[in-house]
Amino acid sequence: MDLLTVNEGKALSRLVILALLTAGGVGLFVFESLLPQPLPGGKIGLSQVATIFALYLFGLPSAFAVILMRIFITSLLMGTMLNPIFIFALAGGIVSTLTMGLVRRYVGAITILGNSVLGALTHNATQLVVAYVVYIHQSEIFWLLPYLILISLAAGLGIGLVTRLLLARYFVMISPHYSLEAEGNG
Amino acid sequence: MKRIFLQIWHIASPADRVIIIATFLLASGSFFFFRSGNDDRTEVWISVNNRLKYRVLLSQDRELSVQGQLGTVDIRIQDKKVWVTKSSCPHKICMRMGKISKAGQMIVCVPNQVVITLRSCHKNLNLDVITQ
Repeated sequence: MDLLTVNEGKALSRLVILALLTAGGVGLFVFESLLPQPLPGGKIGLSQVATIFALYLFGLPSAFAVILMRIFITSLLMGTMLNPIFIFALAGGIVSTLTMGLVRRYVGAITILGNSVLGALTHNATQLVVAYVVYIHQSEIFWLLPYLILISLAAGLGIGLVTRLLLARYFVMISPHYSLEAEGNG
Repeated sequence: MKRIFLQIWHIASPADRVIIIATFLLASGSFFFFRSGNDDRTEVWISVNNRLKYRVLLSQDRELSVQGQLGTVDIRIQDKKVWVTKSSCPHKICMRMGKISKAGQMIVCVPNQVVITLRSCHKNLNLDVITQ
């Protein structure tokens, strides 16, 4: 049996982790769609945990791979392929991921928490603008803006905290001193 | 809840805290921005015999008197509401239609052929009908 080179091994593990993250994002998205949504635009965006995780682990291209695959798979699952919801999700996902990637790269002072809030804000703002330009044409929809900003703040902070904890956990797990037995659940 | 927020605040960097506060200010600022420019642009359109007689702002209190087919109809605009205070028609149905305040609502006095409609002059508000 041929052994992999170090680079091939890294690429392979990256592929596996991205696939797992995409699957996790799909699962979280489907789970969240089962929860009641009392407010318009009031989704928490649980599946963004996967995107931000990929962004901070591997960088912007990997985050794009995760978010695009997640949107395509979930739109096939939920039956929203190519309808308005799909277009909102695509626009919001692309713009927010791009923003977070650029902020992570060029603004070092902002950590994962603030970046997650920024991602939530740009996601909601993009969807509102797309809704205004493409579908609704009534400036009344910008009445939603204050509520959407507040929801973005809360959701962004929550998602950022969760992703931060998950990343810390992941780095502990891949460190050479880690052993399953030491945790007591191996 | 408070503990979670304190924990978040504790681990946030200074730039993160700036973002959190700025977002909160943005939310409250846009809230008041959209509140203030609210219904000031709703207009009261009063027409007699299909001719537009008055077109006034709902936000300005005033009393109007219109000459209908049978006599005068007194209309009062107050506290962003419109109603008929006195009418010369036999059944006084227009007086009993109460106070209207939302764009799209109307008061009609059939014998006098007086129609009072509330219209929002937002450009694209092209509703066909409002049901209640």
